[in-house]
Amino acid sequence: MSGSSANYDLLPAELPPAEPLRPRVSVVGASLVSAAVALGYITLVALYVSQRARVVSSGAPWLPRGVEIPLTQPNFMLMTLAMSVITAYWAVWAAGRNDRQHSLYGIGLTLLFGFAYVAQTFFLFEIMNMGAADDRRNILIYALMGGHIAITLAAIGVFAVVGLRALLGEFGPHRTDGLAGAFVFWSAMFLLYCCLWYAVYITK
Amino acid sequence: MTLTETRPDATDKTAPASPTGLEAWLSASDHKAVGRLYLLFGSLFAAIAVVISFVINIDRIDLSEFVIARDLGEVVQIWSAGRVLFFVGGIMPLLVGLGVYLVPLQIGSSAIAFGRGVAAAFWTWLLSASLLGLSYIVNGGPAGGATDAVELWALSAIVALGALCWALVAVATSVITLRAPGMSLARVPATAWSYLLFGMMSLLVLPTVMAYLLLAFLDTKYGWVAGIEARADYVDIFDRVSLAPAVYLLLIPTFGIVCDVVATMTGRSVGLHRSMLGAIGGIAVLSFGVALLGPAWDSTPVTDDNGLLVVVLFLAVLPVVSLLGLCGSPLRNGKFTMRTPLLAALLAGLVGLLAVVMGAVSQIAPALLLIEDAFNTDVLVPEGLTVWDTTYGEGMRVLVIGAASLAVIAGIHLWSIKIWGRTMAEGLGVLSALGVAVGSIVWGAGEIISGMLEQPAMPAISSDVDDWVEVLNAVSAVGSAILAGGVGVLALNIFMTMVLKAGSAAEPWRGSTLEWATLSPPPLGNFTEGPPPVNSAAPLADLAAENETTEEEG
Repeated sequence: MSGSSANYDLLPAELPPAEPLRPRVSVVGASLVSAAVALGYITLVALYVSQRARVVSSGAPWLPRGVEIPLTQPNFMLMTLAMSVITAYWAVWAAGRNDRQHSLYGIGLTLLFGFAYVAQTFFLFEIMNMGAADDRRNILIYALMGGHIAITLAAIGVFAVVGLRALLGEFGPHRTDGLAGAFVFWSAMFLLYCCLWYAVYITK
Repeated sequence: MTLTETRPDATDKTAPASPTGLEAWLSASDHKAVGRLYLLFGSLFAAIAVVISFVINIDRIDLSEFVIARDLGEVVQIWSAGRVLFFVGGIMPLLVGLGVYLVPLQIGSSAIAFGRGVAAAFWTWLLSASLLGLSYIVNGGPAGGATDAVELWALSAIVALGALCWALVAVATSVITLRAPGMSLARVPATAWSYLLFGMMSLLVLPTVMAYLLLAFLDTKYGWVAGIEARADYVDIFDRVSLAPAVYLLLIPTFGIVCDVVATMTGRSVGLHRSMLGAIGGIAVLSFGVALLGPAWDSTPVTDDNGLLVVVLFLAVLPVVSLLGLCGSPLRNGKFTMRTPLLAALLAGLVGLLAVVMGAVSQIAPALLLIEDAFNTDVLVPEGLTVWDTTYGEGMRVLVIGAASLAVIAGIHLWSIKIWGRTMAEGLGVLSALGVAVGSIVWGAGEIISGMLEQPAMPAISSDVDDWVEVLNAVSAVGSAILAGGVGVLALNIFMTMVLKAGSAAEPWRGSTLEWATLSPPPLGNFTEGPPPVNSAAPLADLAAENETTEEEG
């Protein structure tokens, strides 16, 4: 090809310049979405706390009779999600080092922990013995727990889609933006669980 | 590797034809196509919502009986429908649509961030906003009698607000990450900067409303809030964003657009670019503070939150005044003809200023009460200034939405050549700008003065009101009719330009920001040869000066 390449129009001058790499779009987008979701969820927590304070200050117990919130399951859920944050970061870290195998492990374990958390929450629903329609206070607790499950399922969906795209498509240190964005959202989900854990499960 | 000497034909005859008509609308994911759809449907919703508000204003002319509505529940439903639909279906989508269309062009980007997500957000908004309107028709909304319809109202409002949030995420992300090389945040045009702040502040405020709506939905579903009177309290949920003073958020893009319109129409950039961005930032921060403290607006006696709100509402006047002062410089020194964009922008600035001044006036009584409380003295609070829980708030809302609507008119007319490839009808433009300005001032004045005469915020049958209140309600009704006319003319003008393809294709003016560097309307990818180099806040003015120097040297 040498010597004759000038005859071929391989790099025509009139082509527009290449699109610059957009490395931060997913991270910034995920940060903004996380902030919005956090504000909505914290509003729910604030409403719960103010309602609870009002009932407790009147001398009545907050939890309706027969309802029990154990501490073991919420603590395990906290640990599960804490581990999932580490594995999520592992996936991003491995992708940044072009290590497809470790990234796959990180993504797989993160999703596994995510599903485990959802299963644990449903188990907690079972043992709490709390009907949604039995008492207005129950609705608030269900709104908080159900709201967090919805956020977790969204985070699982995002991590699965972005993870698969990263693993099956172009992979490498310059292609970690999507995974990093998913990690931001996942971390926000974990922080919101910390709010739920303290406001509902610890304070009761 | 196989090389061919001749390049294949540019147009492949077997390639499928580009979709047209409805198919093109449904499959559009380019930010320009989606932006146009937002503008079309947003203007339609806005026109419908203002007509609904006009209907309920007629009902208030005689406060001793219901004229149009059959009972108090229906009054609250219609009253809420006008306000909520204008916010969720009208002004927010219009502002979002303008941002989705324009911001990528202004920052020299070939696309918007999350383009397909923005298209999905548009269709989700359209569907949910339509269901929101439908829920009122089938006896839903605040004070709604049908439980299923009230649930539909809450859910569709959550989804519609979520869709608007998603579109704003895309706009804000674009400004942060997709700016042309050389365009630092300090060089971002006023409109793009204001949309960045508007997006971020909305993302902090709208989810709060969505959380309240979620609880309203659950309470209704499980029967804990039953009966029309209890559900009437749901009106308060939207007060957090759609009623004054929380609605100040809409002033952020309003003043961004005003600055760009003035700069383009006068041919001179608004001086002290960084100060201008700072003043818009001031409006953003204060409007967020106002939104946060908004619920304290109606609370008596004066609390600590009230004290903070007093400070914030007084301070809100400062950035608005300084922005208008900065806009005065190009108006004094530049050459211009009074066309629709400039007329609408100046009116938007005027009505916006009026809104924040009335906001400050509303805080005179709380401020005096605070002084009384702090110094343990008797301060005489002037009669007529204890305006909480009266229609004064509605008057401020009308002024703010009037200012925002005028900014939309100014923006659409200025950039219509970019949006649709043709100019909009000038006569209709002037008519819509004057209609919205006069309508919002007359309507707002009616509400504010009747609020000073202690007309309660919530509509109700009452014979115990000042005689002038009914006269002022008639004035408000006339104002809302004029506003409805103005918004209707805007919708008609958009329809004529977009669907009937009326108007001239000649470029009427040129600005110095990047959107003016591309074709009208811009091609797919926005800039055929990439955006020009950016070395200041007015890159095209730099380029023109450079060319002039080269020609002189040549």
